[in-house]
Order: sequence, then C-alpha cells, then structure tokens
Amino acid sequence: MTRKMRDIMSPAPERMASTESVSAAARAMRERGIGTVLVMEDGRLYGLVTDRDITVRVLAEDRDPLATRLRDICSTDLAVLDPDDDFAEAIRLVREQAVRRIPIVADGTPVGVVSVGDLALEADGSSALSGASAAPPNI
Amino acid sequence: MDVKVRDVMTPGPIGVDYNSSIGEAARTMRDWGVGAVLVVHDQSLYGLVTDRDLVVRAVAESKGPDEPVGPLSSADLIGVNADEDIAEAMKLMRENCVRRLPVIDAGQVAGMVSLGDLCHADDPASALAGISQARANT
Repeated sequence: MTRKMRDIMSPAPERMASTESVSAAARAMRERGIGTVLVMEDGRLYGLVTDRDITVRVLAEDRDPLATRLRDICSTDLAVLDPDDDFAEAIRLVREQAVRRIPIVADGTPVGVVSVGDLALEADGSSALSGASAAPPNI
Repeated sequence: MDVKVRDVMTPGPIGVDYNSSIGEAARTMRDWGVGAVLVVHDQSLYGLVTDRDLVVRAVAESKGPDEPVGPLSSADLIGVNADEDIAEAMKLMRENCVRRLPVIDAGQVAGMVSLGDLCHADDPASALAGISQARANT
C-alpha cells in the first residue's frame, strides 16, 4: 500500500510572519527541534527558511540576525505537495528540484513538512541510515 | 568487496580556528559546500561545529556573526579509521546519534564522513542518494 504525505509528514509546521526576525526563527528551531520554518505573508505561504539558509545567507554575509527579516532570506517559489500525494510523487519532486524539505499544503494552508529524513524512514524503516536520520537534532 | 570509509569520505579536513568568528565559520561552510567544520585549538583538534550548531547555539541566543565559534563546537569527538568498512561508520553513527565522523588515517585527521556519504555508498541508485548529492543551498 502506498502511503500518502499525510501519513509521512511532520504535522503542525512552525509558521512565522515574513516580518519576523531571523533570531526568532532560530529560537523556534531550537525549541521545537526542527530545521524548517514556513514563512507566511498575508495569510498565505510565502517561503521557507532552514537552519542552513540562516548559516549561508545571514551569518556568512555578516548580517545581524536580530535585524534581518525572514522575508529577506527565505526561499520562495516553493515546490509543494498535497496531503493526498503519494511517496513516489515526493521522490520525483526531490529528484527533479533538488529540494530536501517540502511543505504540504491543503486548500492553501500549510499543514505539514516532509523532509528527506522522513522519506528515508519511509523507504527503509529498519536501516542504519534512517536510525541516524531519526536521531534528535543538536540543541 | 567491502567499501572502506576512505572511499566515500570527503578528504582534506576543513577546519577553522577556535578563535575564528562565527561569520568566518559560516563562510567556510558555504564556500566548501559542507555542513560541518572541524575546530582547531592550539594546533590540536578541539571539536566540530555544524551549520545547525551556529543557528541553535548562537543565533537563537542572540549572538551575532562577530563572536568566536569555538565555544559553540561539540568536543568529545567520535572518530573512525579510514580503513574501516562503511558498516562500522554506520554503527558508530547509530550508537552515538551523530551524522558526521572525523576520519583518522595514520594518526592524522584525513577527512570527514557524513550520513549522506554513507547513504550514497550504500545504494548509489536510490532516490535518496540522489538527494544527498544535490547541491547545498547557497
């Protein structure tokens, strides 16, 4: 049986306004043990920011994390999936677009995020790799 | 033939000095396309710091790119010998809940091996290996 994104995704994604600071997003990442924050503007999904993005787009550029807004550094033009899309569709997307995290959107509202780690667990729940991938993040 | 750690590692260890700034460490990660760098203190290996460490241990604490990177690093590193099978590297990652290991060859740090490197070696044809080969965000 092919499982759907709704079965694989991490639900209740962290959503923050595009005017919030990078520091606020970093705190949310630490407190919730996540690497992705969805960026909202006018009630819609505007972009996505990861811990890696903060490193290369803020710290590497010597920008002040307290003064930099998420709008200025997030990735836009996101590839998204529907909760009813299946595993194969997600694999196709990560291959073609080289994305590691995919927002799951239902009726215009983000309801989850699927990461490469989630897909690894789904592909082979018993492998050593998925075990390490499921390990708690650094705090 | 069993695949050895030296066959899949990223050779040429990339490091920063303990007293380097967070911004400098971030630029090193960006320019080399890596997610972790070794931290050297008084000419010896002190620890390892990842992109995530910079975010959750510095930015989340309202520290900026000018502060020193050394205090953010993880010490007590687990290393793996370059001549070990990749199965041994997987075991070490699983048992210690880490995703990256410094690779030791003839008593020196020769490189780094990541979960992504092992993923690719384990099954080069898999979809996930393809992802892990994708270019890092810049």
